[in-house]
Amino acid sequence: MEPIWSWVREKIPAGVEVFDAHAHIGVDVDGRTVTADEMRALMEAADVKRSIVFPLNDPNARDDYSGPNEVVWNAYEQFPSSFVPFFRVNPHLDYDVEFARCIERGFMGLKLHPVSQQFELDDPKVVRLLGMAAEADLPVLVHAGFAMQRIVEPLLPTVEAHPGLRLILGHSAMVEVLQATRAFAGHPNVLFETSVVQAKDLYELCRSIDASRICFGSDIPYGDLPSTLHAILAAADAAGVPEEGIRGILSGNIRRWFP
Amino acid sequence: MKGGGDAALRTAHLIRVDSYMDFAILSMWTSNPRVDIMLGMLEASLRGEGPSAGDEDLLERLRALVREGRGFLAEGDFYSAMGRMRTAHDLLSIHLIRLSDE
Repeated sequence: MEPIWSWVREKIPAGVEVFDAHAHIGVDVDGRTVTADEMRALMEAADVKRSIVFPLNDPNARDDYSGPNEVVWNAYEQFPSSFVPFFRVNPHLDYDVEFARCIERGFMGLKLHPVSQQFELDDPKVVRLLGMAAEADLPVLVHAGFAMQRIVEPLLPTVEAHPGLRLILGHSAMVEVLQATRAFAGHPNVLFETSVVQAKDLYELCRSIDASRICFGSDIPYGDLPSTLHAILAAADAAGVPEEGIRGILSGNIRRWFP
Repeated sequence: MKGGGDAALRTAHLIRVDSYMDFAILSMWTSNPRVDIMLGMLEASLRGEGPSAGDEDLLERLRALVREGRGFLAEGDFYSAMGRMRTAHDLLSIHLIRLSDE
């Protein structure tokens, strides 16, 4: 892997402080765990400066996700310059209290996972939640990757209804990537996040939408920083993305929302 | 019959490897009991010289990454193993995309 990692380091433009827009802290039902210290160690090893972090599909989430959300908040308090804390809720359950609590707490975004919590993006409860986020000016990262079967068609009406909604498409809506770039091209508050997306999908993404709409992610602990950085840099290189575009993908685009 | 270095034969050889890589990666993700067999098939698909010297550097990198990945998996380090496999898959994909434009 060392020759690949050397290539990756050479491809990161000088002065770029890499920002990972998708990572987890906590425990998952599949047994994976990540602590704040472990996340920081991975970031330091790869010279990544900041990461958006949120809970995994936590077995102890119970009704409102408050426990796992607090784990993330504590990580943020421990390393405020490294982490950008997002909270998670289950749209099937009563989320109003936890939503309000997390806004009050200072969380900087919301993570939704349609596969883990088994909902469709046009479920009225989800549409209402996205509307609440838009009203609160709260960025939302939606899992739009592995196991998703409907993304653009159920999501587009909500994006059109809330043009101010800042939406991060986790995993770049990979199964519908071309359709997604066409549908959301005119919605500048929609970003395509690249974690654990195959380089061939990312090549298509880079060829189909301006680089200013793409942000790097790792999905730790499901992805790792070297391979996910390699995927987007190899794809962007093949697609002819200029250095300014690479700077945006690795850092500048997501920093527009989290300076 | 065409010579050994044409783009069509090179592409055919590489998309064969790509398929075996798909099998192996999916087997890893799903903890398939046959994962070691799938990795062995992938290594077999990479064995020997390809139809063009122009792909040898890539093939050597793939062999090294798959070997590393298989080693990490045997040690129980799924995270590092999958990173190697994902990178190998991406190198192959981007090489094929570039080949299509030659």
